[in-house]
Amino acid sequence: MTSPSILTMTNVSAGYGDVLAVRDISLEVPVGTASGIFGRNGAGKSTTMLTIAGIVACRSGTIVFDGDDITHLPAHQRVARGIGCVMEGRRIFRQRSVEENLLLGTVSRRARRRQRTSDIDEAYDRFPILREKRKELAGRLSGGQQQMLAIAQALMSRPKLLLFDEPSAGLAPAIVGDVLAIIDALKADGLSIILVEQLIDRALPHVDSFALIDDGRIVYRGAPDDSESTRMARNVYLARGSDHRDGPSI
Amino acid sequence: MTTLLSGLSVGALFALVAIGYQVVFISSGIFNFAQATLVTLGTFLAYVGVVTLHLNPILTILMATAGCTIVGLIEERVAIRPLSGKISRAELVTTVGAAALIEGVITLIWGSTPLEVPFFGSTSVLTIFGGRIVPDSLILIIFVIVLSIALHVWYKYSISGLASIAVAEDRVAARLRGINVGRRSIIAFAMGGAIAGVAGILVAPQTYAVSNLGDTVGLTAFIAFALGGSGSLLGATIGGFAVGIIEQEVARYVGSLYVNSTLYVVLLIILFVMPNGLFGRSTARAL
Amino acid sequence: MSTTRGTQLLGRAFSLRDGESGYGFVWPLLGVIGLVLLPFIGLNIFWQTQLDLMIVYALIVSGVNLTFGFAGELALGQVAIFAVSAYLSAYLMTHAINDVVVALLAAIVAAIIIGLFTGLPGLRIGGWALAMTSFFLVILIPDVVQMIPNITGGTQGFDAIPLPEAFGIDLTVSEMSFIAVVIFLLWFAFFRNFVLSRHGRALKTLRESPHLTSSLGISVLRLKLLAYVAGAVPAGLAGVLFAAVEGYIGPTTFSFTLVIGMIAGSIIGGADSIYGAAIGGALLEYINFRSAAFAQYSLVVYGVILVLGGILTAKGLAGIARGGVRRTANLLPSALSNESISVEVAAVPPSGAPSRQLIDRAVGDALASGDDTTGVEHHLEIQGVTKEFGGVRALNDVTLSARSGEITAIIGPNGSGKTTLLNVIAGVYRADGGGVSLDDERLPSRSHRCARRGVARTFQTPIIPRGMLAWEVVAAGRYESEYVSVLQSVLRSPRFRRVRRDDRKLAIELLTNLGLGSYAFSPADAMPLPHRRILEVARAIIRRPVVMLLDEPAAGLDEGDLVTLAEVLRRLREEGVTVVIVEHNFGLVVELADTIHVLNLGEVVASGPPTDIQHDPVVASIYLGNESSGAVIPTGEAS
Repeated sequence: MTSPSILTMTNVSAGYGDVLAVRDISLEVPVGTASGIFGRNGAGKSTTMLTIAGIVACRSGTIVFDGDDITHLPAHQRVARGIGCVMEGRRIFRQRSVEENLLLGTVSRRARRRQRTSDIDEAYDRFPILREKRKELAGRLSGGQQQMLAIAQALMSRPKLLLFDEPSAGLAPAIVGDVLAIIDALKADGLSIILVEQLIDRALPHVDSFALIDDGRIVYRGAPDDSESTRMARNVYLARGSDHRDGPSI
Repeated sequence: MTTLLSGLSVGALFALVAIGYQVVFISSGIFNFAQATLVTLGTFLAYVGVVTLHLNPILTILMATAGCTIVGLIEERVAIRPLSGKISRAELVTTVGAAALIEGVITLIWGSTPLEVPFFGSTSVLTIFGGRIVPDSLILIIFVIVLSIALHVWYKYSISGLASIAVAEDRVAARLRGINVGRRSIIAFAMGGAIAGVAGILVAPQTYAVSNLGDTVGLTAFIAFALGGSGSLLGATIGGFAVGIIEQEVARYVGSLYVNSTLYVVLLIILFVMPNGLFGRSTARAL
Repeated sequence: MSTTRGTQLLGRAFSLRDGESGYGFVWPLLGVIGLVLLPFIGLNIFWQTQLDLMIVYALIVSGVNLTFGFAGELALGQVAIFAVSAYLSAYLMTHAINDVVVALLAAIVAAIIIGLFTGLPGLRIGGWALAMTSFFLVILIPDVVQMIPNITGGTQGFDAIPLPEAFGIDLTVSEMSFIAVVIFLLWFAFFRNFVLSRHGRALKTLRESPHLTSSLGISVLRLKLLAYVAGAVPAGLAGVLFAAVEGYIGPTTFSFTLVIGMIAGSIIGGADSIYGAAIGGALLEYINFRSAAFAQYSLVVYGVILVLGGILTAKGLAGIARGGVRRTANLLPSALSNESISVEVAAVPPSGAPSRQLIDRAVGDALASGDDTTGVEHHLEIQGVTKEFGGVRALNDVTLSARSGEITAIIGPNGSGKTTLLNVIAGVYRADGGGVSLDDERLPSRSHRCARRGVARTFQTPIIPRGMLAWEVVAAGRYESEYVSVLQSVLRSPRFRRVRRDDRKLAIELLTNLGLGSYAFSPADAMPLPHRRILEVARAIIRRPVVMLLDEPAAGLDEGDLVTLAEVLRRLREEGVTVVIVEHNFGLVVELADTIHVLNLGEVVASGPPTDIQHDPVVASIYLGNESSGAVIPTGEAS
């Protein structure tokens, strides 16, 4: 018995200008699960995510979200339908305060001011450090705090599916652990998650299934308990292809 | 004191245009060269309302505001949106074109002789702090101050205003938060038009309705914009008043011939010494 | 023989391409011959004046084309320069020496001075702020005129400027017309020769990216000043002609409407065209001449032209007319419309992946041309480089070195500071601490000076200027080698001809050997990404670099292109170039690099030969995220 899918990508290709960064990708995210998209830098992970979010146009293929075809929907309507996004590099509004950032997170929803304020309070309950820094400019926060804010901000739109684009990038290993723990907690709350990461070994325990991308294509699909997966990733990342396998190993 | 007050009243016009520049610039990243020409249109619509149709002041304001808003929207649709978000040298060409087009149509309809637009209220000169000022100038100054504070509050505290600023700060991030950036640009041009419409009726008693009003005012208001710093509404207001005061003081103590050259020097100093203006962010894109 | 030669000559004469981005000269030349004859074939005075004024406006518009259209600088002070020059010559003609030659010389000097002055803000600011600053000059004209009424005639202006003399001989209206035509011809010959030279290519490069321009060793400052001055001169010439022909000038002659008309004139003929300026000039004169009936429509017409033209330009649809002309040219027998140079190209296979030998030849030839520097050892030292951006440390005490005859790779995750390091080496950023030295001499932290020391680079996203053919883009890399002055270029001196031949030959040979020979005469910006990347590499190679920096050259390339790229890099190494490459494609790096440096969070965390790095536990943990202190490799590892 397969559970229904929150997101189904079928043969999606996308890219910038004359370059296809994503080629013929198909992906299925069952409701309430966490899916990983792993690969090295420049493999097409971010483009995949931006295509789901609607920033990069889909050249061919279809994207179905929550039962509806969203292939050609503009980004802001996808947010309203329930796709949230934590962008790479903790892309928050650095010149705005923490509270303004959270308020901006609610912009896609029709709601009364009071509702928005109480949602912000809830966010503070989840991330108490943000309450302390509520008047601070977002750009002044530490890297880890900025990542918390980015997640909190994305949650303000009440997404059904949350996309994480390399939450580990530029963060110290210990903080990466905190972020991954948050992802687990969100999944436990019933959110569906797509985790785009380079650090496959770190991210692997936190996903239910994953796809390995190289050169814009899915080269391998697996599950965390799959003993092949780590070796595959290693070969793809560090180019230990067939011609290197017989070389000296440590 | 009278010079100071007349400086403020001239400056209010520059401030209004500079605020219009800012409102459009914040949400779309575009410097709308036609902003001052929209004010010109406002003065002519005021003329039509007051002189031609003998409308009451409220109706005249409504008509001028609606007219300028519509023209602002048309400008966005015709001269901006087809550029499809590619901000480049093209947007300077198309907004200059829009300015020429509006000014050209105004000239075709109303000719190029200045038309007098009487003020709808009292015309008796008031004395404030020992300086003399006509009531329409006073209303204009007050209006500019109230408008800039209102806009400042709107940008700072309302969801819609915050969204506009967010677009200015990071377009992609704004889209990913669910902000419709295309609509932000439309709203910005509509607001720019509306401000110009109100401005038109308030400045017309002083400037008259004259078709090439926008040329000089637009350029002078740019100095106010640069002085205040891009992205800052209060900066634009203060910049506008400062430029107005400089203009009147120089006109009085040096001679009106030297006004523009002084302002030009001021502009060069601003651009070279503090390219971000008084209140502009260091990340200002265009300057 | 003689037939072929003859056909070739004919072909060259009728070629509308002139081997560069579609600027021909034969048809304009025919038009011009007619123009010269016009004053003498019984045109009445009225039409002669029309012709003269058309020339005046064409000159102004051509100045706009030069500064705005070609160099992309929004320093639009031409109307102010026009005004000053008109006043200057009116004053000379009425109060001093009434000689058109003297007036012209004076106007050129004045135009150069004012052009520099109006362009000055452009060294600091750009975009519309610069445009507004130059527009502002126009509203200063009436004020300045009235400040010095005894020179300018105040609000009255000059109302009876006599027809000037030339070398002491009184001129008739026809003769004045003839002089106008001659000036028009001389200027357009100058303009054409200037634009169709290395300087023109440099201007287009500047329009695309100052960053790229300085990476080619070109001083952006000097190039901008050159663009401002060259765009000012025709406006100065126009002022003299205007004063002489019109006989009247006053402060209202130089209105803001004229500024708008001047931009519209530039847009309608094509801002980056040479002869389009004549169309623009004709438009302006047509609108002005119909003054009574038509002037009231002038702003509307200008507005429509600007809005439509601006949109078409942004969509890349401008130059449709030029495309049409080119298509017509192609209807001529192909033997007629081909350049002799393409004969050389035809000898090598058209395209597809080039063979190893071809690449060897490409790089070898390009690097060997000129003084021989091979065999000299070079070493690049990066010593304790630290760089911060707004409190964030992008690079922290980075020390590494690269040697000639080696490929040094810099790898690392996103945001680890790789590109920042490349930019510090290239002199784009000044390091906050530490420094970079080449052969024990500190590299300057100014991009163009650094480039002149032999540092060449490519960009993460290839920067290929619009409106240039592929070979021109490559040849742009040679601006600084065998420098040819503006004067030599304009006069087409023997040196210019030799260097032009070399530029073209080297660029085309290089492209041919890199497998892009058949694209040499294609518009470069429309080429697919892999070709644009190779084009960038070629542009860097043609500079005969000591140090070659490549920023993610493999991104977006497929297998075949990767083979070419790898060959090129290997060959560069053999030629003794110090190759530094930032790349994500681990496979390529492992295959090519002699030494790999791994950056993480702005610090060098590992250095060594590829096989060591491949199996370095720290590197594995950076890339994969396993935190098991790096030493333990999971059992799943292939062994």
